[in-house]
Amino acid sequence: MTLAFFDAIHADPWAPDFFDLASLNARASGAVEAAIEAVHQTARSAPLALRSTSLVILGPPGAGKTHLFARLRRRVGPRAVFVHVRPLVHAEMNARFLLGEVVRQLGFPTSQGMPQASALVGSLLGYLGGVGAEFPSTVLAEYAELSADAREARLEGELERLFAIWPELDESYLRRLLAVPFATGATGRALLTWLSGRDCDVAQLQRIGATASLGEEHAFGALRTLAAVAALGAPLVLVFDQLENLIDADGAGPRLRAYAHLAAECVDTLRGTVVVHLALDSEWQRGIEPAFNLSQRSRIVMGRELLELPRAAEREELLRRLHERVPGAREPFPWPLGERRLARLRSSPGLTPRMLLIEFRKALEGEPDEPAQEQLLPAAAEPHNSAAAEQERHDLQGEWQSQLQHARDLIQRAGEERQSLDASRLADGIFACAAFLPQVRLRASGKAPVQLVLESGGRSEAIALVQESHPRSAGATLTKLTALSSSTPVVALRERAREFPPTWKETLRKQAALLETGRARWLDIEPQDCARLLALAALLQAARSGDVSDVRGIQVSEADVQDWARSELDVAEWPLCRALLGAPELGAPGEEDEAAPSTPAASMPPPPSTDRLPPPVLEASPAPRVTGSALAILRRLRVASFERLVREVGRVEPASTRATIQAELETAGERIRWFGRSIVFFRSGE
Amino acid sequence: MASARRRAASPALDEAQVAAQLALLRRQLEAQGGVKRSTIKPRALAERLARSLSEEGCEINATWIRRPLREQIDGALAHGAALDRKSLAAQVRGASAAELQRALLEAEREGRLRRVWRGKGEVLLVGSAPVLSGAQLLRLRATLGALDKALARAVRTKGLALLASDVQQVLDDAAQLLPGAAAGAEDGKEATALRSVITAVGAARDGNTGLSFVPDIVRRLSPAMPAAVAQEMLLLAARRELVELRPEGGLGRLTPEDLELCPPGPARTRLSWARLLEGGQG
Repeated sequence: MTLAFFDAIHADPWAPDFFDLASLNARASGAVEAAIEAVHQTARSAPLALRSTSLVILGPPGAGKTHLFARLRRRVGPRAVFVHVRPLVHAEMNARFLLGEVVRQLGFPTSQGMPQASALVGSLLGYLGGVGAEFPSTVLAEYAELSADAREARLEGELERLFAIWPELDESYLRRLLAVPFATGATGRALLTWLSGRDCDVAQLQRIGATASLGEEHAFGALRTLAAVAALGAPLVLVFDQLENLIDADGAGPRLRAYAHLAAECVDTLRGTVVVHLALDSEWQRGIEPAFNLSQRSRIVMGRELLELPRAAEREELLRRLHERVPGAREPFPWPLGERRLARLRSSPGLTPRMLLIEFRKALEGEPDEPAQEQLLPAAAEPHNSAAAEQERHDLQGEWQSQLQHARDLIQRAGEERQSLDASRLADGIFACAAFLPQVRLRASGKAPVQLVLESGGRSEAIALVQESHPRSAGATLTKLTALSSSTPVVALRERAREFPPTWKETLRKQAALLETGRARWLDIEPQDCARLLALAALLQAARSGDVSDVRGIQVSEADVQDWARSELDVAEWPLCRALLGAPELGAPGEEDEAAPSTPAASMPPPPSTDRLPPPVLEASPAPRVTGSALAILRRLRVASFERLVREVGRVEPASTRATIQAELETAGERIRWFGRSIVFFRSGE
Repeated sequence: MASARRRAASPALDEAQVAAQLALLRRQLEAQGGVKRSTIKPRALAERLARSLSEEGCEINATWIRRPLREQIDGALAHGAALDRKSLAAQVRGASAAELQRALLEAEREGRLRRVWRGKGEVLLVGSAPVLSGAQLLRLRATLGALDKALARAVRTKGLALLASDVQQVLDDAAQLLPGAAAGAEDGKEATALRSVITAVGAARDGNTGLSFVPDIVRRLSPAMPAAVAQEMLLLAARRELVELRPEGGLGRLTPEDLELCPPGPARTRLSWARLLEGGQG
């Protein structure tokens, strides 16, 4: 145990390390556990009677809503499949998005270590085999010992039993779901990609014997199949968190209505699923529930639980347990608080568990107890002095770096699994940028493949993230965009790390055709920009949920976080934002001032040549900063493809770009040697 | 035959006897308020005593020697006595009904006396008695009138009930109108104030969530309890674990007026929601 534990003041639903006081909010977690148990019992006695349950759990920021998810996951273990869903900010949640989240998290581990997908299938096979759903790993081990043919035959038999119960199940989906625990490496990833409804690449489809990815029209059917079979062994627990992010500035918008529709449909049509809605109490009461119609309300609010704040005895117990986690604590409890501070923390009204953790951390860092009158001063009445404001900025920098690191981890994982990033989450990030670009307005588009519409000076551009993994899907999207470009200018974006390979000739031809229209721009998103987009969206979402605190533990409002981001992050100068706005590249200030366009249309690049893509805007920076890592890494690798070098450097220096690496290699002169345009060799012995 | 009788001359008064009689009469006046002149013999003594007592401030008329009527009325109503007119008249000696009526009117005009309806009749009380003002009477009538109507409707309609907390709230509202209710908290009578706060939390409770909006609670208490006192009492109730105060997590939904009514919480939060705990429900 290290002191790093005390830095994590916001609950991570999937954190392996866990800190809990079982008596606190036992009623709320007990309600969910009871619902799961009821599904288990019904599954044993009358599977046809399985119905879904929906519970609403409300609390103020820091009361432990996300912590509740972690507690349940740990306590219920593999006997349920937990899915934690944070809403999209730019667009409406739909069945496809939900399916993607469910299957993505099937790959996450249960508290006992096995992936949730294995727990689901193992429990199901145990149930069908009559040994019970309690021993999924034993059942899976038994299946794993069988030869492939014998296993296939046995699974076939179990499939038949399932169809005897529910003939309406999606057979191809179910077959692939049952195959997940027995597939390894790339095949397992391919199966999960297909099951999630995301676009599979050609190799993935070949591996799993599919001809096409799961279409959007099959998403709800897939969810129904998944939920029904899960209910027999490890029921699906869908937890929608941070729902206050669904509220638009002008009240109940389409996202909230879409959520209500989706949630009500889940309750109606998914079997044996426990749906949990977590939100801020005040926002649920005033902004969310009033937007539901009676029918939706009756389905969504089947039960309601309020999270309680810890009482004096619970506070002391929490603080005592925190003390136990201090490695080599110098003195017994109440060190580091002291009697006086402990007495204050026991009795101060309105303290949440998060506030207690922050207070303990401050005491651990040697910060003296706050005078009572200072802590009671309201924010509105207290003029912030510059030192305090500076302190807050520093702490938000920490929050930002934390979000950025989380996003980089996500990008690295996606890179290792050769997956594209979720287009919806990237669109969320671009949408979040709009708050910092005063000259433009971004709105969601309801018409695929366009995610967003950028409006500026009376003109609009359609923004589409072309993140497809299969050349045909990408080609189809490009064709649609080409058709669209005749009426609306188009900006197409794709991750730089997922550039179309030269073998996708037809796709490249369609891309060129799109750009030839002269009404389309192509932007590659560098990994660094992807990380920034994901981090910004997550930071603003957390701010709205009251989950951003400064170093003093003071909750920072959404408006303050936006102000901080406006002054510190310089979002408008991010390469992607500049490119979206059609601004010229950085590095030539004189030109920049001179050529600053007033509208995106004015900045539209000339049509590119058709034999190759136009040079990526972000790569064309005239003075890239040399990072110094590329040569060191190349020395270690001796020989590598340029693409691999970019990936390796990106891991140690997330701020690096292709351009900086290219520039560094150019300065190496004779020390390196190129084979063609893609392989580079370090000449160490020469 | 006619007889000629002559009235005998009054004997001369013994000064020692006069002094003794004067002392006796003073004690009688102190105890009874008035003495009939005819009870003092001989007449010359009566006149002599009347003159002396008049100089001391007593009131003399043709029939009575009495302590001043004003003093007798004030004395009868002292120590919180509530007397109807007949009982008061019985305690006042030496005044005719008309004279007493004039004195009572004058006392009422001077604020030394209040006429109060009590039970089935009017009684008279000393002017400093804690009575409701006209405005307070109007407010109380409105408060209880609503309850009266609700009670009548509930009694008339089969199966219709009233929420106990609602009735309690009306009664507490009415209690708040009584003189001295607000002063109770200031005098450290926290129990009463806490009870009012807890009742207000219950009355403002949302049936769905079980939460009460703090500005609503403070407004309910406001006729008798200033906002600052109500906030203090809420914080006290929270420290005693009768009520849970919760920080506002909303997206700027508090108006400036609501914000003012919410007590400040830790880490610059505002405590905008309250929930009754078991201790507060008992």
